[in-house]
Amino acid sequence: MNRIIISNNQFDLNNIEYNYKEDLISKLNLKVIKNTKLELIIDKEIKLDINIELLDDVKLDFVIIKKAKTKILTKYKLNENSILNITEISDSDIINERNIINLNGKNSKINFILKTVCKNNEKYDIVINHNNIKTESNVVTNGVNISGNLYFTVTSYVPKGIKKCIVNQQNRIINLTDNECLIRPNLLIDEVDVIANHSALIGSFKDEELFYMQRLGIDIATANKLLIEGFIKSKINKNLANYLKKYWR
Amino acid sequence: MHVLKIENLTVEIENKTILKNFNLEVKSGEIHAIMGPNGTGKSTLSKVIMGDPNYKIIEGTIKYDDTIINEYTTDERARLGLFLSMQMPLEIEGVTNADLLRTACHIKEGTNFKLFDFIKKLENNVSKLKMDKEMIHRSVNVGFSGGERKKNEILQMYMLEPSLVILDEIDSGLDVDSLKIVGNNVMDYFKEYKPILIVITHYQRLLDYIKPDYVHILKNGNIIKSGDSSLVKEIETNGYNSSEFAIKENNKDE
Repeated sequence: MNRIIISNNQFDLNNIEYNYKEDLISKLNLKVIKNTKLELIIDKEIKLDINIELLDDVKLDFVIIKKAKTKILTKYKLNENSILNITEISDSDIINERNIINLNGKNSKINFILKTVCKNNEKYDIVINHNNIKTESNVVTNGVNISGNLYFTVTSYVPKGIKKCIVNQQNRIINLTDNECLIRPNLLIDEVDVIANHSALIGSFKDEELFYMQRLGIDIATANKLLIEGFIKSKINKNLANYLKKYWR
Repeated sequence: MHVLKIENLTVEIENKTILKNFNLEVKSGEIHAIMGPNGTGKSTLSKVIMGDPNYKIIEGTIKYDDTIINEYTTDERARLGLFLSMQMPLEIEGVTNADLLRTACHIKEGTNFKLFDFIKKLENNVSKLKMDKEMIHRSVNVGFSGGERKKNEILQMYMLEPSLVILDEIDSGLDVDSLKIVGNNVMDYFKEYKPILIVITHYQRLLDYIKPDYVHILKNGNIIKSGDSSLVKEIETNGYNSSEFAIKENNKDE
């Protein structure tokens, strides 16, 4: 597994070309030349611009762990037949993040899963540009707001002539407070030959789910913790979910 | 010996009366079947006993042993020993069966909870119910067939060992083989633990396995007739709209 740990400038990379410049706004450029896995751990306060390019026919499994206050702009460029699987876990007080994903190559595909437990203020803006035919994007943003404000903006663009694309968005916030949370799900599609689905839901856990657990003798507080655990763990590797386990243990 | 006593219970949901002056007394070691047409309050009864907050008790009491439990929360009732197997078991993505059951058993047993004993008991019960062992590690009811969901409910019963068991249409969604497994397992549990057993069903086929001591016909929120298991045959022959039931219902209204 390739690994980058920001706090101690650790770059253990194979099959990925990189350069990193630390500055007021640090810059990290990565070029993925062969199928590989990468873990990026951001564990110090930072402003960071990241550029990641996947060459033709390359697959990258990319895990991002955020443990510190961050402001990040990430631009992804996917070439023909490339596949990018992103799992992002956020556990920080303040996060301001913008992701721009350019599906430039035919048959390129992005699977983006975000899991966060929000305590203060978190804003995520994800833009997916389908710039070529037969491209596919699947974006899942899941957040539990326990004491802050959480905002998701997810925008998928398909211009006219970009046929046979698949565009999926599933955005959900479990808001356990009275604070404001917002999801802006945008599907901007100017082509008829496209499969597109989206769901956006903000709310607490369902009464039926709580009743189902309570009828087994599980009190409300414990039921909520179990449901948070289930919500965070769904669709991702259990080991990754453990980064957030303090919220249900 | 445990006793569930429901007296003059009137229940509303969204300003609509579902149960009206309902009375029922059930003791440990007794099996009561509650039958009736759709929409007469059978599932409401099960959820009210279990303390579903969506239902409002307007009048009357639900007493378990010496305690009036009207104000008890659902989890408090469960910890007294009440258990409801739901008609439509819910899917909970991300929460595994094992996590759910371990949490429930841990709360029930407190400091006496031992993980090794829990795992052994779980494996044993999964085997008894002829369930796939992998289902234990899957999200609760996600991707389960109707029969698997109902077996999962019975697995929960086995693990928690309740003293009062309500089975709300446990037979719906079960094929013939699964019905036999579920029915036989409920009876095995009944013989071993002698709980209060309340079975809500539409069909005789479940009662071929679970033999009730008493059968009650529920219509328009009240029991219009009670009897022994021969009443089931009568319903199978005449349905719920027979003149006898209609007359009794009219007399009740007077």
